[in-house]
Amino acid sequence: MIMIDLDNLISLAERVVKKAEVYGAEEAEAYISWTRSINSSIQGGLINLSEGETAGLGVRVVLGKRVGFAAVSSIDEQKVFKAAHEAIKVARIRPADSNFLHLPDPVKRFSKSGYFDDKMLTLTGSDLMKKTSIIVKEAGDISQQITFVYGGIGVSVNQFAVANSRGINIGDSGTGIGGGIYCKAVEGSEERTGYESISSRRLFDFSGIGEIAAKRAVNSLGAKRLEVTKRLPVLFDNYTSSIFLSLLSYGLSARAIQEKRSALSNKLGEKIAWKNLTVIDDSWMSDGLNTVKYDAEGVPTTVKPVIEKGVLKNYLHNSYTALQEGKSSTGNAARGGEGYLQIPGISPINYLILPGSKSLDDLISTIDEGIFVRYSLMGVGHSNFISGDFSVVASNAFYIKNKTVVHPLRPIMIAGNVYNALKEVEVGSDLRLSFIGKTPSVLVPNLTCTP
Amino acid sequence: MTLSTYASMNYALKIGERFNVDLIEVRGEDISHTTIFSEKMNLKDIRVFRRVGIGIRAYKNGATGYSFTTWLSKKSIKVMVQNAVKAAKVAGSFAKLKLKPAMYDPIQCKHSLNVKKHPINVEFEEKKEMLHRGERSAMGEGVDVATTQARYGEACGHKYFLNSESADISREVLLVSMGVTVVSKRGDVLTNARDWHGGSLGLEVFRNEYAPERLGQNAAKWAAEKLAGKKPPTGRFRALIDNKLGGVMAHESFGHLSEYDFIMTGGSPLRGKLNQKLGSEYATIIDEGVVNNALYPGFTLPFDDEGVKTRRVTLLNQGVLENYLHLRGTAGAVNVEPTGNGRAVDFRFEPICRMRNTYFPPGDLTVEEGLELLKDGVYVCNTSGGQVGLDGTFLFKAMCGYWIEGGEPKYAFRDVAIRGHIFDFLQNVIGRCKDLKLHSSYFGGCGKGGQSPLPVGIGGPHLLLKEATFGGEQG
Repeated sequence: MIMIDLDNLISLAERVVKKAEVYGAEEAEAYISWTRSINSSIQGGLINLSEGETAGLGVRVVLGKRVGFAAVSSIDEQKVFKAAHEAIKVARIRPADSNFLHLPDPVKRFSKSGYFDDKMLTLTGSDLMKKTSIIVKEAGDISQQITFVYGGIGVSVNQFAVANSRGINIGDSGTGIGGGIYCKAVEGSEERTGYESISSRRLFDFSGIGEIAAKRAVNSLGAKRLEVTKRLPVLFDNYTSSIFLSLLSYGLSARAIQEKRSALSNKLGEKIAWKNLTVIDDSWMSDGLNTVKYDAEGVPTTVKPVIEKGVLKNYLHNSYTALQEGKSSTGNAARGGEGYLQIPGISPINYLILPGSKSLDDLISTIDEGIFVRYSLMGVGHSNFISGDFSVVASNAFYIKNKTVVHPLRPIMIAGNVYNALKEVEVGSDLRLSFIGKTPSVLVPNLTCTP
Repeated sequence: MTLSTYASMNYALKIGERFNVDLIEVRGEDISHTTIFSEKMNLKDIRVFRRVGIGIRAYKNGATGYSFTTWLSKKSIKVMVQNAVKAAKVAGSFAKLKLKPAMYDPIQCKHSLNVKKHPINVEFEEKKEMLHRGERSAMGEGVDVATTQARYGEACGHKYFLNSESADISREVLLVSMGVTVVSKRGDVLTNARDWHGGSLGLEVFRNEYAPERLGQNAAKWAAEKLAGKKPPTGRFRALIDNKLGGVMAHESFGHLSEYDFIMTGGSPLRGKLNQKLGSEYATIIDEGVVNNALYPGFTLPFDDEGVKTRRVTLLNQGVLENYLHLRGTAGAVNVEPTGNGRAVDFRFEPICRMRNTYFPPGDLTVEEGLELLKDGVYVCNTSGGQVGLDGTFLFKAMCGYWIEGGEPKYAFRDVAIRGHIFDFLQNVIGRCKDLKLHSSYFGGCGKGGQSPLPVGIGGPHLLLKEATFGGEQG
């Protein structure tokens, strides 16, 4: 794959800022992202292979207390200058935000980039297709019960640049590869699914994941119904335990705190979780999937505990929320999705839950009767992020009796509250890398389980 | 030096034709998006963005390769074309299921939509005022209103299509929609409801029953009714289902299963069921690109993203499964006429099999007659989300619902969930009303294969069901 020169992106961002000022902006910020990707997939015999690049710019301008934003999926000068002009038009019609102070100033502090794997640049569509066909074949070979396999592998190289009128002009690059496979196993009228996915900043050999996904589907066959609704200990494996962090992220955002929509308001320094629970937002872990040197506003990223031995230590800030409190940003400005289409919000970079001492088997052996939730959860997005109440469906759940996993269960619903759960959780030692960070298995002693 | 969208597409096609491939298709788009959000009559957010880019697909040996770019320079376009050709060759050597582009007459056409009040000619102030009119009416009509929200979205621009068979299509893309949400609060009870409308239409559509005031009023009324609503029903009851919920069921729980990629790869329970009777004589479902806009203002798609004219497809005819929805490549492979269902959400994606307007056609009952025939049962309206399985199971949470006795509404429910299997649902349809209505939303289109939100038309007439299962997961 061909790379684009990062310095060229930064200098284009600077030219857009200058142009916006010429058009009348008091302050301006340009964010440019560029991604080149190759994706291959095989869906029950149908092939998809695509390769391409997208680039885009989002420009934020300030007129007094009015902030305007516009975006375009291009890095062609004519089009990006036009977007700067559009942003000013938007700023003129927007209501003033009396809380807005200014765009971030350049911050001088140490931070670091994630691992950049040059080997990723030489991968071709043909390489990915071969790898994909291997995982799809091994899944189908596991059993006659496997009736449907959908697998894919994608690789991407991305770069971004940020410049603003206050002198920020930075950028960073990253590589990523991900593979996923979904299988269906059928026996009689029973149909079960199994899934596995792995993502990495480094070149990765995915062979084996097809076999894992297929075995998961087959091993979920023969599911029984949970007899009645009851409160039980629930062990979330290191895939599904990320639900707690997704819900927690909302409450940790300083924007939610300042707008009084967080259950964690006024709780800094208080004990909110199990005494041995430590959660760090580690923006620099070399293999972290979101690791980045600067955040989406060009502020250097940081490493800080959010919960330390059960005590709430830090909220997450971008420059807007930090300036409200006269602080400096924690470097957690983030733009979701395609990046350039969004104004900066707030997001953790990589969570790291410090591992406990018990292995997964040790945790299972503490449970007399309970549920083991594996691989995937549905409905996390439908939770009440303000109160922390959740009600999710576990399609791959297993029944634990007398410290042993005895049989798969038909899909069950698990309901509870994340803030109550955090006070009682126990974490395992088996860290797994994902887009939320690194998480171990998590045991919650008491949740409502409904067949 | 960069080229215009159309010039860069022609350049890509010219280069592509030099390669030894079976077919080259080039797509391009230039679409501007505007969204406006208001909360409690305060303008919260305005966003504008423009998406410009092109993509190219090459067919070789029964498989396709795709490539795309936003960088419209000659050098970048050359790389893109080479990548698509290379990808097609690689894909061809792996493909077990072979695609074959169906024969068709390549179309040369410039298509534009005839609307009275095109959103690009309407000032921002007027759009903002539409939202405020909706919110004002909601606050005026509502009970214990805690919050009102209103949002407006528009997409305006063009999509272009060229191929090596001389197709040359330029078509206008237009989608506008607005909605009003009301949250009511009494004590600890919090309820919300939303009404919305939209389509490939001018802003003149937001009048009469779709005037911003009416949308606000409806949302306020439903949120208020739910405040005093009773516990949801559980069990099997007769039911009347409104336009929006019936439409979502037709799309989500039936339409997707008829998409030929799901048939071909074995995932769909409709595989092998062609010409079988799956529903009652009232179970007819259509998927269509262009519906009579004067009668049923909604979503319009004259051509799909493979340059195929969209054809009216009768999926289910009086209960009998008659057709599937096809890509050009799957239609050719099984030797049927292409249907025009190859759609891509934007230039970054290859077209996949997707719906257009999917609906039960109008029947012969008035809604009043529908209620009379319902006699005792549940009247269930609109949806606030749900879940469907590829095996045909579904669970939808309705926005609101009522208990009907002797054809008369007795009381409202707070939350109603309807669930079951699509085949059971289809067998239980015992009547259709005359009131077909279609809608399309800028904010909530269809999602599939990572391509979302794709605009589609959703809706239908009121449907009468002999029996349906109510109750949430705990039912």
